[in-house]
This record gives sequence, C-alpha cells and structure tokens, in this order.
Amino acid sequence: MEVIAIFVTDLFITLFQNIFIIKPYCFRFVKENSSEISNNILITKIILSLFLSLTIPKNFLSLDFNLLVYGTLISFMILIFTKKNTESTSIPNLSSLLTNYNNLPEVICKNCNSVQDSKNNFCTNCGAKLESQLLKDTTKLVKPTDFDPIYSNSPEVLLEKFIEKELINAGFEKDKSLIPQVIAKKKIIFSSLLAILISVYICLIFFHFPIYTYIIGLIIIIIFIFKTQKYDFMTYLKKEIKSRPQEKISNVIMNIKNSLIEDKQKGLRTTILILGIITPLIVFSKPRIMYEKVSDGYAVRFYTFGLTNFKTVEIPEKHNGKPVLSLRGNTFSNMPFLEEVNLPNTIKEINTCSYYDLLKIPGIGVKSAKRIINSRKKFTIHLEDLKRMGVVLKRAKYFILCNGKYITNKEYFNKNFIEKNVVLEENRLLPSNTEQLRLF
Amino acid sequence: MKNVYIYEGNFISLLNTIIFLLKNNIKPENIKSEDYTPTLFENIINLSINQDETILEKTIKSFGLFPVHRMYYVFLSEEENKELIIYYFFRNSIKYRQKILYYRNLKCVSEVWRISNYVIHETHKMKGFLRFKELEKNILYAEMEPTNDILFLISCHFTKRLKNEFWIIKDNKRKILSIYDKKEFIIVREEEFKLTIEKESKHEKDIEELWKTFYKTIGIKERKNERCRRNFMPKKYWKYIIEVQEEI
Repeated sequence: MEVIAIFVTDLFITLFQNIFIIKPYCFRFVKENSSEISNNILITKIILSLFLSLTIPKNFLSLDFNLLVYGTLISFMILIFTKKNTESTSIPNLSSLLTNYNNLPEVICKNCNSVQDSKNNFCTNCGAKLESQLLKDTTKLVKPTDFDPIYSNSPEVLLEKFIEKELINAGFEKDKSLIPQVIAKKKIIFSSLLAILISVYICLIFFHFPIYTYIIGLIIIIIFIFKTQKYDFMTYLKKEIKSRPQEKISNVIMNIKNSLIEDKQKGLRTTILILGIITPLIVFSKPRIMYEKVSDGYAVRFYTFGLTNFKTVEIPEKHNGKPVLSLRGNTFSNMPFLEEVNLPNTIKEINTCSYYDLLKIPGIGVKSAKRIINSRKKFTIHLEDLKRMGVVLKRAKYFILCNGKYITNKEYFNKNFIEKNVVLEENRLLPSNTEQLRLF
Repeated sequence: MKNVYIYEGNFISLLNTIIFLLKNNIKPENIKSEDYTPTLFENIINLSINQDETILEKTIKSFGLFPVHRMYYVFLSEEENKELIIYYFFRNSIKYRQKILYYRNLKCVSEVWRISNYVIHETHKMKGFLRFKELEKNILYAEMEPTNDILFLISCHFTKRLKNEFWIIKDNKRKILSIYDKKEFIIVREEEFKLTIEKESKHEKDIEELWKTFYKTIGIKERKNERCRRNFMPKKYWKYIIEVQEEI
C-alpha cells in the first residue's frame, strides 16, 4: 500500500511539473517538435518514478516536492521576462537566385591547372571531372514552407488556418454571435443533459452511499463537460469539409454562412443549468424518510438529511396508519454531523433495538446484549445465531422479533386469545367485557 | 476412505500444515497429531513440509494478537476435532482479519470462544489449587492432573509469582515436568529428567499439619454448603489438595 501511495503522489507531481514547467519551456525555446519532446520527458519520468517508488526511501518525495514549488516560482519569473524569438521564415527572392546564377565563380582544374567555366562538368583540356558549384545549388530542394510559413504546421492546424482565411474572405465577423441551426439544437440538448446529471449528483449527496460512488459521479460529469466543450463552430466546419471532399472550401463555407442564426438561447441554457442545481436543493430542504413495506408495518430504508436540520434525527411512530417496526441497512452510516437520534418505542427488532431495550427482555443479560450489539454491525442476526450468543430462548422467545419474524405463533399476542386462556384461581374464565388492569 | 493429514504435534507445525492445505486447495476430512492410531477406513497422509519458524510472527502480523492467542488455547485443549476447528477458524480469518471474533454466527468461531474460555478458566482455577511441598535444598515441588494441557500457561504465571525460588511442577496425566532455575523455565518429559532428591525437608510435616488445622478451624459449621463448595472446587482436583485429601 505504501508503495502505491508513493507512486500516486509522485505521478501527481510529475503531471504538475509537466503542465506548468516543462511544456511552457519547450514551447518557448524549442522550435520544432516541442510537444513531442515534452511528452517523451513525461513518459520517461513516469517510468523512472515507478522504478524509484519501489526502491527509494520516503524522504526523497518531500525533496522532490520542495524543488517543484521553488522551481515553478523561478521558471515563471524567467518565462515572463524572456520573449519568444519569433523568426518568421522570410520568403527568398527569385531575383536573388537569378543573380547568383549569372555571377558564377570560375573553377580551376586539378589535373592541368587551366581555368574553366563552372557550367561545364568536365575539363575542356584533359577531360577530367570537375567539382562545380552549380550542381550543389541546383540540388537545393524547394519546400512548401519557403512560400508560406503556414505549411510548417500539422495538417489539422493547416485546415484551421485555411478556414480562418476563407472566413475572412467571406466577410464573417466573430463579434456577432452567429451559430448554425444544428449546433444550436445540440447545445440545448447537451446543457439539459448536464443539468439532469448535476441534479442527480446533488440528490446523491443527501443519501448516504459509500464515497466511491460520489467520486465516480464527479468523473462522469467532468468527462461530459470536457467532451461537449470540444464541440465548437470550428469542429463543425471541419466535419462538414471532410464529409464533402470534392467541393471547394470557400463554397462550403459560403453555404454554411447563409444558414446562420443569431444565438438567442444563451439565457435559456443558463436557466436550465440553474434549475438543475436548485430543484434538488428545494426537494431536500427538509429531511425526508423513505419507507419500505414489511409484514404488519413499515421499515425505514433511507433517511435523507435536509439542509435545515442535519444534526438530529426524529423517526415518527406511525406511517400511513401502520407502526414503524425497524430500520433497515446502515441508515445513518455516512452522516458526519449526526448528534442525536430519537427512535419511537414501537421498534423492538433484535437487529435494530437499542441497548437499554435489549436489557428489558427476559433471557437477555448484560453480556449477551453486548454481544448482540457488537456482532450486528457485521451481519444480520438470525434465530440460530441467538442461541450461540448465550440468549436463553426458553424465556426470550415471546418478546423477540427477529428479522421480521415472530418465533412463536402470532396469535399469542392477540388480546382475545390471551383473555380466553387466562384461568383464574376458581377455575373460571374472565368475562368477555372486562378489561385487564395495567400494572405500570 | 477418509484422508487424515498428520502434523508433528507442535503449534507451529499445525499452522504450517494448514497453510500448505490452503495453498493447494485441499479440504481435509481430519487432521491429527503424530501419535494417532487410525481406524480401518482411514488413510494416513504424512506431509513432509519444511517447518517455517517465522510463521507465528507472520500470522500475528496479519490477523492480530488476539485471534492467534485464542487459536493457541484451543490447541492446548483436549477437544476431539480441535485441529479441524482451528483450520476453519484460520480459513475464515483470512477474509475477516482482526474482526473475526465478532462473527459468532459461524460455527467455528462460537466453538473457539467456548473451548478457549474453558482452557482459560481452568488455568485460573489451577493457580489456586496448586500445592507446593518443600524438598531438601530449598526446592518446591508440586503435582497436578488437569484436563487440558495448561502446564505452559501455569508456569508462565509462577515465574512472576515465585521469582526467587527453585520450583518443579509435574503434570501426571501427560507426564511432563517444568523446571525453573531463577531465570527461565524448561518443559521436559519424565524420561529425560529424573528427580534424585525425594526426601522432604525437616519442617514440611509440621507446616502441613498447621495448614490442616487452620482449614478446619476457619470453617463455620452452620454455614456448610456442600454443593456450592463443589461448584467452586470440583472433585477431580481434590487428589492433590492437602486439606481435602482425607475426605475422598
């Protein structure tokens, strides 16, 4: 575990280093393949850190971290004061090439020491081969970058720059917020989906699931935002152009420009997002209880703590006219600010009953009550387990509700049944109308 | 045919065999010590494994001290299937680690609680029932006959209690002795060690009689309760207790 922790922190540091130090330096000082170099450095650093985390002691980590903090400060200072050396590759003049061609230098033959024209490949006197300068000049390749510096970029960037040129030619203005109809539709769909996702995530906070569910939800939302932000006007144009390779770029752009609409829906999108945030907050402003049906009553499945009251919990005695019998699952497990829980007296389940109520049951003493409380955190207690805990079932079976089941016949708890079977000293049953006195 | 696996009789060799069985996915029908005589339908398998001495430290590191203590107490008892109980306890504690003793719904865990408590209670009683005699040359000598093999636990107690004496405790049932020389104690068999001194010291008989008279006079005749007395002091221990020897 320690190795994994060290490796993860080291990986975080390397990513941080790469984004804030190495990449900007590479873009500033290296002319070509700057992104490739930075990526290579990242990969080597990750492999190194994997190797080092297995072998090197922990103190190395703190040293690395300190170096990083001071390093970022110094590097930003340097980056601010240096300027990027923007050498625009100048277009060579054709006329200068021509003048070079006219004023050729003369060449001396090595065999006979006679002066020759540099146009000739062979000596006119002896026939030996000459090393002419003209050959070297003619082998010089003419690259597309010599005409325009645009061509030095990758094809994706090149396409973008072409499109920008064409847009300027078509008279497109960036300041006016104009959007094609397809994008306007899609943006509303995306924003409404985002609002639903966010509202579900906020609802999740009030329930108490394990922590990793929240982390997974956050990751899903971030990926969604990242993917949708990529969908831009430029990407739409690229897609259109790639789908119609036979037409000219200018024609495609002109077609699209005619179908543009003004972007009036910006307010609508923001309202949808705000609604997505506010609705769950309104729904869960007060604490809510979710019930589950069991035999002869209800059980509490979820307790959602509200915004107004997250310190105390109160569970009512009755729901829909039937008693609340038990709490199911770990109802209050992840509530960090919980201070007080008020349970009604109707709950007498072995798995959920409080310690002082357990002690009131005949047949359960101090030791077995403690055993029940300690072990029911781990598993739900069944009837067979109670005997192993040291409970005297002979006495306790009339007072226990275990896992939603009575041990004895349920009729024993009816008032009429008890009254019928109560035998007085004089062998005479109780008259049916009279009530039994309550002792306490 | 039943397969019976055999270990050397130590606690460490038992742990080694259990780990060997768990690694190879073998479900044993029974595990027994070396001196076990098999019945007709049992097939004995003798595993020749290298005894790893560090296995105790490893198990304590992974499961915690408390469960390993309980396993050792079960090993000391004279239960019939104690090895199988330890096997299942060990297998479950790989899953639950230190919290295994809370899982009383498992049969092996509840059995471990019952048996280990029985062993602990007997050691606690034996600490009171042990009677020392004084031999010549200031050596204390005591005999006992407990149901469980608790000589190790008792001699651990008396190293602290009688630090400045030479003493010998003998277990007559298993024929083992533990000998203490003011530094540490050793447990040996009866064949390996023979007592040369058998004479009691001069004052021994007088002190015994003094003790008996004290016991008789301290009791109150009107408050006599035989059943309660046998509850606290069971009759199986009376053989070696001086003051009640005559009553048997």
